[in-house]
Amino acid sequence: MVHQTDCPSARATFNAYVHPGANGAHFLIDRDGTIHQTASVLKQTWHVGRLRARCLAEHRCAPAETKALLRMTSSARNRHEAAKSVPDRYPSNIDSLGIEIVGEAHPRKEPDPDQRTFEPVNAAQNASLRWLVHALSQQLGIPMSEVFRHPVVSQKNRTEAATATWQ
Amino acid sequence: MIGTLRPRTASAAVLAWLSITPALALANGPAPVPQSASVALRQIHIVSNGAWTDRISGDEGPEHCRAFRLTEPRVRRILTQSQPVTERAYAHDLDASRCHATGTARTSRGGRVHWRVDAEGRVLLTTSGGPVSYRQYLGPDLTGTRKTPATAPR
Repeated sequence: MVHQTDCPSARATFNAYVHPGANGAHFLIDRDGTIHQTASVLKQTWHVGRLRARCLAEHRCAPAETKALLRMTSSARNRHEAAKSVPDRYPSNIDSLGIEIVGEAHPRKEPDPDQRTFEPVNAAQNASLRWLVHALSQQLGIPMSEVFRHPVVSQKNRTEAATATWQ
Repeated sequence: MIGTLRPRTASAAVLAWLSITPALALANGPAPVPQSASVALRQIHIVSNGAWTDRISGDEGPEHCRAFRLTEPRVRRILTQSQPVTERAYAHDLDASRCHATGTARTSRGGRVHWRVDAEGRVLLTTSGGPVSYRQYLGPDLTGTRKTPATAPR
């Protein structure tokens, strides 16, 4: 799962990680492309959120399930999806790795964060992301088709990681 | 004190109390959980109900969001019972929704607060060029289930 931090620097992200109950991911890619491993790949981290319905996004739900999913609250939909297995659902906290990329959403003076747009992922960051995704894919046997931007999987600012590339 | 109801007067002129975060919440980086003075709200006005935005990823279309409708008493309950969260939590950690409602509230000091509530219980309070408050409503009203606090794993 590919994220952007909405923090200006790796240090600001590390500072956020030390708060009790803080969320986090397994890797952090700094502005210069440096890759930090922030958790063992054997450990679960909390980086996903409630799952969107994969079959809705991929237009392969049965008609009855489509109807039911569109009536569900997000928490009910998350429970519904959690009962499935990958690849019938999107990966969740229990079976995914999180890669954060340092980057903020702008303009910072805009009080409504939903109206902000995440800064582009730079060339050094994308080069490191490509290397890391391919290394993890090869080492752990993760299909490239199972790598997602965060807003694809959860309800988030849709510009997060929009310019991240790993193919 | 934040988000706590003070005793109502007989005239019920002062209806609710909540806090507004200092403008420094817009500084770069994670903002601390705000602690500031309370402001009384006199009137709540709904400007839009069942609104939809494409700034958030999701499967809800405009027609789905039309069902997300808040009443003034419900808005009052949401505003007063919501809890402050950091700007980072609001912007990055909490789940968001395409469906929302917006409106204004008059304060006892004569000011006007703009509010925005989405179907995931995120609450945004702003004033013109002034303080901003990021909050989360944990109650059951919006989705029928109690939500996870911002400090818990997302």
